[in-house]
Amino acid sequence: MNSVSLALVAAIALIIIAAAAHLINNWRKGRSDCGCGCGSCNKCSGANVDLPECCRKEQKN
Amino acid sequence: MSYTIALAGNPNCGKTTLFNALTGASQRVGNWPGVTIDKKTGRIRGTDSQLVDLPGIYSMSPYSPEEMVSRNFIIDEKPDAIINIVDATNLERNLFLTLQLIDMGTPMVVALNMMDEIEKFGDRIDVEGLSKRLGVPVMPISAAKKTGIDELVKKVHEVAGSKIRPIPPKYDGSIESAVAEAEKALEGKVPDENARFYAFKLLEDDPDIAGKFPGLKDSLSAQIEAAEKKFDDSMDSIIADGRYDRISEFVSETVERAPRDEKGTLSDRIDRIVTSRWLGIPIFIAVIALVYMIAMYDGDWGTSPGAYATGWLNDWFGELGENVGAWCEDNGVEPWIQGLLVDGIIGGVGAVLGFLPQMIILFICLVLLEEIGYMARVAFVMDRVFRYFGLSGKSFIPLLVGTGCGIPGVMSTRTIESESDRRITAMTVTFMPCGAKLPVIAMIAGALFGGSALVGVFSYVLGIVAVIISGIVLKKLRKFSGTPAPFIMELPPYHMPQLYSFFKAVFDRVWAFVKKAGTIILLSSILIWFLASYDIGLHMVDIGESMLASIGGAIHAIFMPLGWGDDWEFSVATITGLVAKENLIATMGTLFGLEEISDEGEEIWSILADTLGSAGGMSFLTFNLLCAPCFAAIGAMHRELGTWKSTGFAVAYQCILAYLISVIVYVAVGLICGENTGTLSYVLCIINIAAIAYLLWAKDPFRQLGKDDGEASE
Repeated sequence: MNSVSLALVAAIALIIIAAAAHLINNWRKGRSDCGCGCGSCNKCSGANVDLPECCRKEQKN
Repeated sequence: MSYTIALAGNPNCGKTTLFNALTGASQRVGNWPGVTIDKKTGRIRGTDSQLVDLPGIYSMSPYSPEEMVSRNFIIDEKPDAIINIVDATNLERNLFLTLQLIDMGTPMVVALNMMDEIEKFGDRIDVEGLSKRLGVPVMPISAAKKTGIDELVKKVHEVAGSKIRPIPPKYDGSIESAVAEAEKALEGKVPDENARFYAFKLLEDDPDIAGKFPGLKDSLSAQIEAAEKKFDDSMDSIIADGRYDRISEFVSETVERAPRDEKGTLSDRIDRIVTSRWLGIPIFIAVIALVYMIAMYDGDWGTSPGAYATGWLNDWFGELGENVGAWCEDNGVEPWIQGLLVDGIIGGVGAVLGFLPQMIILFICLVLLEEIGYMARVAFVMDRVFRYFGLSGKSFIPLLVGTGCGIPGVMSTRTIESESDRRITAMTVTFMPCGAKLPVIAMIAGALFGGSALVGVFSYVLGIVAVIISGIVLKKLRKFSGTPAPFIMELPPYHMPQLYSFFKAVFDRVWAFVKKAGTIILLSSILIWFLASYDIGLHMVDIGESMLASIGGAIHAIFMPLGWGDDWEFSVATITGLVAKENLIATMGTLFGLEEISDEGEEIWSILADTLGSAGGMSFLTFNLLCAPCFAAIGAMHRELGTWKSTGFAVAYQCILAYLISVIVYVAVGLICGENTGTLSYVLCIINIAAIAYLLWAKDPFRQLGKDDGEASE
């Protein structure tokens, strides 16, 4: 395997780790992968649905 | 000083807009009522006070979960003050809740919202006079224009700090003497400040309050009888009438209305057409067709902006794949890495992102329809249809929410009081095409039907029909039986969308789509590429000998009567769609991308068209629109249905119904398009039609029972 291949493998591995970490983080916070399920995050068309189990968006105070 | 302040008001009176203005939060504001189902909290900007936004309610009666949440919060949590937000353009209706809140004895300020609209109409409200009559400070504001907010914050802190209690307006003498007796009877049993509220509730025979003080109501029977005799009505009606009489008096004394056009406002005139009995549904269909036409059409009349941009982006991803492939070859990159990059990552993620322009246009149109208030009219129109079939119109709000994403759609079923309606709705919300299914609709429309808007219309109508069929059929089962809950919906006036809210809603949806492509779709594409490129011994092989081909080969026969079982790729795509529905596209992008190379560069989506045909394509779309949703939505269903047994039943029901209807669609489209769909499909189609017809028309034992009960009670 040449150095270009190695660099590509490293880059792909990094992307995979980042994507997986993001999903795991979302799962731990109770957010669903589509960005929904957290009313306070406004990520979906859920209008003003707001539920206690949803994640909270930081308020700008 | 730090206070806890409750924000209470009727649905759709601008409560969330005021919450955002006060706290600096950016809660999504919906132009339809009744979807805030739990309280939310935030800190008022520039203060240490906490603001609790309660669900929108019409009264403090314990009839719905929203009313219970609001009432319990004020009674149990004892906020330092209440901001009662009132729609100044509809004072008569809003002040009913105000009078009940005043009785609770908590320091309170009335925020008279939408004063900009009042000025626009040329009306005048004597704010001081209204304040004097209500016995609480009244502050004119416009939450949307952010005027009067600072003054409101100052006033509510003043009221909370000095603990100034409202001075409740007085009603007819017989009501007041009954209330005074009830207060006396409640002495020492409830906090002094809440005594008047409890007294009213006791007289109204509120089951919750009466249950807390057994026998107490009997001691008031003399006063109640006297009042009932005087007004020849029941006590709760006398109290409600008394409140409305006072409200009429206050409004006539303090509001000066400019002359109105006899034909009504512009909103009224538009509503006469869009909510009409005969035109409501055709207009809804036309609106959806127009939306999809703008986003997807590519035919004799030209190419829509969405179809043009999507075509360009797809070509760009195709070129990107070729260039990356050539670069890899030039640099001696290992073949498997090249395959992973080009077919796995660019093929899978690129196939999904290729639909981004169409998604942006669809999101813009759908958010616009929500924001201007049209979707509330759709709920109103569909209520009529739903009630005709014995379903609750209230179910349509979660379905509307579900068109964005099934998860909040399922969650918002909590607003439905009737247990059976709630369960049925939670099971059927995901029949509506959510944002994740939009690229699948666009793919089938683009690849097979020249971007025809009718595919979009078909998807929405299919979702609604599936919900209606499910409602009728499931109500015949004991655990789903029951009469539909009444649905009262107030149509919000049409208004221009607030630019920030509009662009934020569109951006949020687009960003969620892109983020999903970069995370779960990316990982799924890599996994699919791996399974499609290697055999069980981890040797790189042709796609036909891969692990994925083995998996697809084991399940593809199930889908043969649906017209797409001959090719295992579609079966596999359906399974991967359980992770996220966009995966259908990514899977086909990866798998057909691999085939594309072997076939010397045939266009991916034309392979799809050749393989599926019109009938198979529509059947494939139907099955994937109706079958089990993604895992995240299944999780949401589990939370609402309570048990895995019920969730399993719901998923099995969705898959079976999807299968039955897909066979019918396959044969029907085959007949229309002159495609041979095979004997097995014909036979199954006839059996399916017979089965669905039987389930629809079979006697509903529980509905009959309900009717009998109703008659008996009359």
